[in-house]
Amino acid sequence: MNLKKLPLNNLSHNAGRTVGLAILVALLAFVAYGGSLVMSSLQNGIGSLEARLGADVIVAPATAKSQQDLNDILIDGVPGQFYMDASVLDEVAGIDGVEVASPQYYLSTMKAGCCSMPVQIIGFDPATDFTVQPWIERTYGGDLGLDQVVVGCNITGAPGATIKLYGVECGIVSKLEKTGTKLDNAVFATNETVRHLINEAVERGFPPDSHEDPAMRISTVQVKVADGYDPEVVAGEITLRVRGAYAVATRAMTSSVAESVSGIAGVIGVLMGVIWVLAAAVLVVVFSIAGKHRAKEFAVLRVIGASRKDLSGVVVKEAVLISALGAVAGIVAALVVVLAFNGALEAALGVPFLTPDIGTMALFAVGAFAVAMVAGPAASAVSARRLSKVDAGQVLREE
Amino acid sequence: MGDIRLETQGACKKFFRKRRDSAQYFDAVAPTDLQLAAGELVVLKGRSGSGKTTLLNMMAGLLEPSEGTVTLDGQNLYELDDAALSRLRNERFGVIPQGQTALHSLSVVQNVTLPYLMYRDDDGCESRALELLENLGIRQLADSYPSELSGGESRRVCVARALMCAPDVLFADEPTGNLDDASTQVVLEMLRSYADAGAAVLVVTHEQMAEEYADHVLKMDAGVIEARA
Amino acid sequence: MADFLKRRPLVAVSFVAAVLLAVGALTFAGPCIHEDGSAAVCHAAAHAIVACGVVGAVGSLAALFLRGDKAAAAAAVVSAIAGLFAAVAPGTVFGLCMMQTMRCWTVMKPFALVCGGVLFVCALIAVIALLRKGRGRAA
Repeated sequence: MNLKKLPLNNLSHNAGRTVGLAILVALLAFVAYGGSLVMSSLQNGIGSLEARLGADVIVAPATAKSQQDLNDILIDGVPGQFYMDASVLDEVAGIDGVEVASPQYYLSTMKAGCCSMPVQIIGFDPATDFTVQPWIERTYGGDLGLDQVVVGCNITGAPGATIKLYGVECGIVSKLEKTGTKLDNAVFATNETVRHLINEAVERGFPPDSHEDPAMRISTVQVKVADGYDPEVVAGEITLRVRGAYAVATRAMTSSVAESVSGIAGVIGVLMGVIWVLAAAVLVVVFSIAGKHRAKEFAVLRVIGASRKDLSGVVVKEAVLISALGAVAGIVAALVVVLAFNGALEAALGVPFLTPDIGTMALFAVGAFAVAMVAGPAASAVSARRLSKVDAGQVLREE
Repeated sequence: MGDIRLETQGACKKFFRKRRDSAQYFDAVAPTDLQLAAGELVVLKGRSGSGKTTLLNMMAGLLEPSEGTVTLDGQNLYELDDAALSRLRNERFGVIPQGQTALHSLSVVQNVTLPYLMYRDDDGCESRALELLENLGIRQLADSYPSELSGGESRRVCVARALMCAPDVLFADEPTGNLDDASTQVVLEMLRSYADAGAAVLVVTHEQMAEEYADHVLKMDAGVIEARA
Repeated sequence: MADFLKRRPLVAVSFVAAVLLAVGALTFAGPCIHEDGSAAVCHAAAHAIVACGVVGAVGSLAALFLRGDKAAAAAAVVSAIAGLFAAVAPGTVFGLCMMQTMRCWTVMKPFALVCGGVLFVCALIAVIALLRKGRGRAA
């Protein structure tokens, strides 16, 4: 046993004090890491939402309910359906500034049958689609055939399995990557498949709530705006010129989500700050109280030949060991909570939530570790200073 | 151990004391000239609060005098920087402080070897520690922890710890407190033989029996060393 | 009791995890409920989690109080197996609901994974410690 080994020995011999202090540091690391993971997931979710919506402008029927439904489907994840005449597609395509226009057909399953809750089916036109297929190509090379579907990552079932939609067994050919948006809950199919599903349902006597032929009716037109055109201007133009249609720039849709995300991020930031200040204050107080009780111990070390530098070294080394233990525990706990419960977090926050990639998470972990490793020893600094200045003669005389 | 000489010249200690209606300095130890030489065992007696421990702490390099000097072989202790003075305390002084001062997180034998291993490599010092514990009659407690010891056993651990580095000067503050007569005798004999081996030994005690082992007995009252008792 | 907790702290932690597992699956981390009150697909998984929690709690309690290290280790093995099963069974052995946004996916499964994982790891370490202690004594 020497002064180098003494700190570790002190910690293991005073397990209660060690665990208590480590828990405080763990709380600091947990808040730092968990908070930054959540903030980054929110940021990712917004980016993912913008990327996944894909279109610059979305055209939907001009009724107020349709607008609400569109928002429900894309942003809030409430399955729905609404339709307009298929001729809208050609009219939209003719508007100046529209580079590509592709129709989508929305269909909502009923609760029973395949799923424990309604599922949004999105039919697209493979010939013109530019919003869904690029995502499908990332996970599945081929084209979608009849009765083949691609599912969002929240739909249970691996590629190769089948999913029963309106009584039809549809083959899952691919599962999309998680986007953190409500489109993770949707099933994607070609309009041909959607038509087949409706026909089958009608034949079986269970027609969908408001089924309409995808050849005659469509739900939305996804628009890609040509270079040099402002999506909002194009959207205004479409609304003005195409009867019965209302166009909205996706940027406007996501900006409301971005606002609520920044609100949530603000609240999380404030909470993180408050918890940090409280935990750090408690840490300083606990180190300081522990330091007071240890004055005699340090006076004895002084008597047997420890220098002031040695004494502060013991205190700081103990704090570093405690901080390392606490930081690792806090980071692991935050990782478990955020990864395991990210579905629950997403549901609770109600905004797109996509955890960052492993590299970013590792980077944040290193950051949180560093922050905790600074906080612990810094909190012990007052006590280290006091203990290193302990007046051995005075302390032992007071016996 | 050579010809060691620890000396105080006009060393005094003033403490600031705050009372309800006034605040003033008082002399815990008046200016004192005292020499400790190799091979001598000096017993310092006196009532509680007479300044014995303060004087001992000043001589042991633990408490800087308000005025005057403490020199070891001509070197003023308090002119040394903290690291050098700490090392000197470790290498040349052994201190048995008052009360129970064994470190709680270390076993008995670890407590005894700690001062040795602070500035030296582990060259089998544990056997020396065990020998010291054997001489003090607590060899069987080597692996126990201080919380498991009686007051007397704990005092003997501190004696062993102070002797571990074979110091030139040994300071003992009530080394026999909490000890029964038989153990008191063991400890005092040990201190005497240590002085006979060439060390300078200063013992602060109330113990009457200590005088029998002393070369000189000094009496202190209100911070002043009086005529030899 | 306090003596037992001091002697086998990890077993005490696994007992708490097991109780939490059972209570959680019955309350805040329970399965999905349809609007009409009927049982969703994930109820079987919830029942399995509760059963694992009960078995884990009984095993841990036995491991806490049994005097012999080997007997305590055997009881802790039962707890560890219950924890492992609770952690991995939902979604594999027992199916969950279709949408991964549902409660069984977002709350029940991760809850079982965390609590079952803690139960498994603590009980396993306790088993190793108990067996080592037993061997040390035998030697």
